[in-house]
Amino acid sequence: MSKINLTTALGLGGAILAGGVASASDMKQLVEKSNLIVRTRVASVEYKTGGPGGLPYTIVSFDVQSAARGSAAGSIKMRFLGGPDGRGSVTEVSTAPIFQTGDEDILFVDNSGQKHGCPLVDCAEGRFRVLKGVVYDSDGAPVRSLANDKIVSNGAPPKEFQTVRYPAPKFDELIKNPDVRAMLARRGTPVAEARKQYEASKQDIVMTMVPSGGAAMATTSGGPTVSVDAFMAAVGSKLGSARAPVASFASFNAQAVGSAGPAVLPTAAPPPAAAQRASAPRSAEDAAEEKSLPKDDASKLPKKGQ
Amino acid sequence: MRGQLAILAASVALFSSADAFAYSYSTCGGNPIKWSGNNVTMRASPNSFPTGYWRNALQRAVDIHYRNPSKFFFTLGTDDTTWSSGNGVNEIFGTTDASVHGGAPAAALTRRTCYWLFGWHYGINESDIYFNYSSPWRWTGDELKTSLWTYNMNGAGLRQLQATAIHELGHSSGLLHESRWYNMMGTDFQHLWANGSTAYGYLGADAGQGTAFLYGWWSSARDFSVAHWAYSGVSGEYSTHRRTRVYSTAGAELPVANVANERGHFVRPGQRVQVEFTYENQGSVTHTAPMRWVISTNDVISTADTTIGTGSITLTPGAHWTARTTVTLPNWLTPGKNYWIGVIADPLNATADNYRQNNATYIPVRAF
Repeated sequence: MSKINLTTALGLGGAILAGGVASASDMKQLVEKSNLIVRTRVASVEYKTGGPGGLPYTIVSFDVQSAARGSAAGSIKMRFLGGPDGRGSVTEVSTAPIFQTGDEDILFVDNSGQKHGCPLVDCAEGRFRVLKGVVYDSDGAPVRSLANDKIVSNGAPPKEFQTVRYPAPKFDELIKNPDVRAMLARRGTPVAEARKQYEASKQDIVMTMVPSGGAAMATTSGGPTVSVDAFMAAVGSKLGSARAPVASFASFNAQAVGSAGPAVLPTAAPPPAAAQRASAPRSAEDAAEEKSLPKDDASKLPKKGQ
Repeated sequence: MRGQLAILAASVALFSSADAFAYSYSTCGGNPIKWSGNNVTMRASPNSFPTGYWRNALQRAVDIHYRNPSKFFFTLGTDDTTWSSGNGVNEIFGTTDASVHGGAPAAALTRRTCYWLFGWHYGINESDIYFNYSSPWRWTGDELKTSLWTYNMNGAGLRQLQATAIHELGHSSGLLHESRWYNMMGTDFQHLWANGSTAYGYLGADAGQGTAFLYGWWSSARDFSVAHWAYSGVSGEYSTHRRTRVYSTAGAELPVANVANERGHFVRPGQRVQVEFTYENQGSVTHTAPMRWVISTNDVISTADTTIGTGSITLTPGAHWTARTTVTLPNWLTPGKNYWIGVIADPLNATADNYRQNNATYIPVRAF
């Protein structure tokens, strides 16, 4: 029996083998699920508090450059959950995209977010970013191909997509943050002095997403990209066979939202459905062999935090 | 299966490699945003996670996340009957309210501090997690693989709550989505370990390494593991994963077979093939694991199975590696019967490994 020793590239974390065909979002399904498909530029963003459960939310105003499906012209508004609270914290919803003024996008829209947690089809998956005429997915990975209805994207986002900037809180709001007051008390800094320093600094909130590990898998980084025109042509090719939109789009109406979000109480879990548990019969020999497999016993391990 | 005499040589081929630090996080003023301490309590709704099946599933997710190689860990309380964002309590709950879930199966709502006042102030100060409890019901707390739709070629089965909970806990610890690599912060329901009848989601080497980057390595972490899932591509912000495969020696994927309702491949007795698995070091030190590849008559891969190759693999902490190994299948395979090509890391327990259950897995094959 030969023995072969495999050693990964030491020192940087290891190695990976690329294999198989990349999977991707499905263009046909995105088109089917959309009530509106638009190419947009973000005209402005407005941050609010008092969404569902008290969540902050963001109202995004988009200038519509063109509509491939549904009816929209001029400017439209949508609401996305998450955003800054004006007192030094930002709530991020892991499934929701973040828009900044000036962003250019192709959006597959379901609704405006008036009564819905996310207005886009499959939330972030319904957003495609545009930079210098090239299309990127919601994560900022460049779209590489559109073959067979699959929107294949891969690669690290360009620097333009890695930073999110929020306006600095107004000092009168920031000082309502108990942590801020406590910090000033610890320092012995008078509020008036803190205000002076703060307003002189003009430091916006800048959060940067750091994708460690370089560009992408070796076999899929680089390569061709997809232009906006090619992407929109692919959208157009699916429109003929798509069902009609189920609803017309109406912009988010801030007046229709109360000052405080509705209480959202946890929902009860149903009892586990035995009928959904498809337990395959196993032979006594198989069951015995499985029973003999190593079991994990964390009770004998050292504990963290001790 | 019980052993039959077939000890064959294995050769191992590395087709390509790249360095990986497959995790993403956010910064404020250049500083990584994380919790100020290494232990955070999540409080689950006793209504959404009543005592028994569902609470056990959630606790299990917390326990599996605990295995990460960093000093960081969550503890679970089950005493929170309400949900409110910004109340300073980290809550886990189920909801049918579309104004919250927006159709998403689950999400983490993470509140990050970031402002400047006599220096940058940054950190995570709250993280809530919701699960979409709308109809049709999508969750199972089973670790029985036949309950999971990823193990049913006929589309039956449900989504494992543990796997998704571990993904969301990853967000709560400070990690962002990951689309570039095989990673729990990608598509969680395709990031599973399985052997025999059991399958469960796990944090994995890359997200574990990201957690260790944020909170520091835990010196006692030792966990070499194997999986039959691998990176396949991107869907939005998420990496997508596929089952590992069997290839010809020329590198062509062998024809796909439905083997006991799982995705497998047709093979011939005596055929020389490349078998592909993902190997991970989920510990905090470089780990060299002796390896054994086996053929089994069932999906339970154990040291009782017939050896068809041996070798060893060295991985640095936080490394994952999807690689193909060339083995020769025994001539005694019976056409028309199902078999399982298995791999066992450290079959003789020669190295320190805190969690040995995840040291073996399989690829189904059908002889023809």
